[in-house]
Amino acid sequence: MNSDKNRNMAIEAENVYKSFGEPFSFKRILKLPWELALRLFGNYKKKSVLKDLSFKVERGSVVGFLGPNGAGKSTSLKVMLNLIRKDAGECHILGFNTEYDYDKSLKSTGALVELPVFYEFMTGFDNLLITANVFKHITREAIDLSLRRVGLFDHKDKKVSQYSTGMRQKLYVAKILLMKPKVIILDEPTSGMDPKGQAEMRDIIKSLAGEGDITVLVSSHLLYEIEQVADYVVIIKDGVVVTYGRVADLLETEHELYDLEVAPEKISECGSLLSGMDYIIGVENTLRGNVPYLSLKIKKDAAARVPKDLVASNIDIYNFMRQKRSLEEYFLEVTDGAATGQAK
Amino acid sequence: MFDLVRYEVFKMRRLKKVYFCAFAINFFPLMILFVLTVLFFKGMLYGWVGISQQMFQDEFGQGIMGSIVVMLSFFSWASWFFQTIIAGELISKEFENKSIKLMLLMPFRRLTIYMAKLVSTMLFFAFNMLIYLSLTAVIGVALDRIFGLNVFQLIDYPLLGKLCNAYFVVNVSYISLVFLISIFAKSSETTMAFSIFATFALKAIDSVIMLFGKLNIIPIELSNFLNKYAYLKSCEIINTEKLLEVMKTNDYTKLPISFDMLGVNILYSLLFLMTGYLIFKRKEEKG
Repeated sequence: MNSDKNRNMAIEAENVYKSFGEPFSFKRILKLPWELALRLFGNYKKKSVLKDLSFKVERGSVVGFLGPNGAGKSTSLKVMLNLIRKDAGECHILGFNTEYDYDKSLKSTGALVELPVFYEFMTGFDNLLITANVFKHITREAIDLSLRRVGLFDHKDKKVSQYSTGMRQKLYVAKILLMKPKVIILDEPTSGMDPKGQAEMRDIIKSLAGEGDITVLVSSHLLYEIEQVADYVVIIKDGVVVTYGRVADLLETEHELYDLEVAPEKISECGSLLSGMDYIIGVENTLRGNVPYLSLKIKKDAAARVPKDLVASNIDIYNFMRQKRSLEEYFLEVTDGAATGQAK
Repeated sequence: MFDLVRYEVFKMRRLKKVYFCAFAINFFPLMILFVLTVLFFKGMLYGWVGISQQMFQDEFGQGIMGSIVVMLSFFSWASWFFQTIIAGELISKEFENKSIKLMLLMPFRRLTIYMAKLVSTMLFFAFNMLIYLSLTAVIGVALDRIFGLNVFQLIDYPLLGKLCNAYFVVNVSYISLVFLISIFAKSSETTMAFSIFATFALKAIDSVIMLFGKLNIIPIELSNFLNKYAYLKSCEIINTEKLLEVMKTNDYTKLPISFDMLGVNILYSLLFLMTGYLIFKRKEEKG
């Protein structure tokens, strides 16, 4: 039900569990006859993929959905879209239960899960035109406009079987744009795309985010991209949410990092001076190329005191620049250095 | 659901196999109808196979109506054979290449998607039947004008409607079985192969039950009961023996449509469709 409680939430997952057994096959059963008995009597061991997955996404936000290989990202998205059944828990899109009201929940949802699929025997244009049978507001002009927006207008009469992976991704995004959804779920939207295509896709996601009430949940292994477009991130590991929050807040630290470059002959004097200051947490000598510089860990809001103290001590500053913590660094911290990527 | 049926029809219109199947369903029975009618009526085959015009009329009835009845039956089987390809394309192949995801991500219930596929396949059958009957009429006129066979007037149109209706119901049961098979099969070709196999297997089961009854392995009453309500038997909603009698007398108003068989046939259709739907509903999109 679309309750008042859920009115401000675009996507909700509550205590979702999902496990997979080995796929059933007669060949396998012949090899392992006891498996049949185990399957029949319900004592068959399954691999848990999602364990108590819970998170909420506010309407109108752009959320990055991150996790290492095999963390359960694609499975989570499939469960949310009711493409696969979950063992337990509840998922809601725009307040509608995706299991019992999935026709309502999918009414305003555009989703790309894993690689985009199309009817290969049709042209790109026809693959979009076919959706006009269901979504009445779609016109031929709107299709042309959408194809122009993703840069596929010149290829619209080619069969989809002749499209590259990147072109398919763009065509799928064109299809989603046509549907005018309120929630967009994108699983690895830039996979198989060249850098230009990735930048274009990033721009499209950014422009979608600017179109009012649209919520975008995007799973990607390109953390830089997520950092560029997302307001929030959800990081999952081994089927559990390990972090959820606003990107700016997550990257915020108790101290600030700065790089300081001074005259090479003054670098040790500068290091000793700053080490004695109460607002300095740590000083480290480092090299950038052949240029020595100091890496400073400074207490919050105390950075302005560094130039003052150095000038007072007659030390010339060549460069003093704040170093922001990247999403990648944060991701590696919370996932213990696990690699990102699509689940196998 | 109407929107989804239109969606499916759009897809079928872009599929080359659909045109091939439509051509095959209509062309082959019509060619046989045309050639046989002309050859037999002109007695051209008399010298070849020893069948006279009189013998043909005794066997198939006088006029084109007899031929239409026979050929409608042939058409029904041709439709069944080629519609397995369509069902395979709409279900098996979509699961195989994952394009089913396009429909599963639309705001429709699984039942609506399943029914839309069924309805569009039935529309394909109805469309073919319409073409077939229209072409038959054209051939009837051609026979009259070219060969002087004034047989077209013998067609009893209300009876023809009754026949088409009966074959339509039988076709629903064929398609429901094929749909059930196509949910398991991985390609349209496998669907066709398994559908043919299933038909022969069901026929074999019928024969085995009859044989067991005759050999007293199972009670003859049970054998008769099972045989009467066997799937393939229920598809014979027009009693063949009585049909031949009717053809001899040329009184088609007494065409023996077996309504109890029609009932059994509808029950089989429902059983296949419900089983197929339950599996379709639980079939997960494989990652």
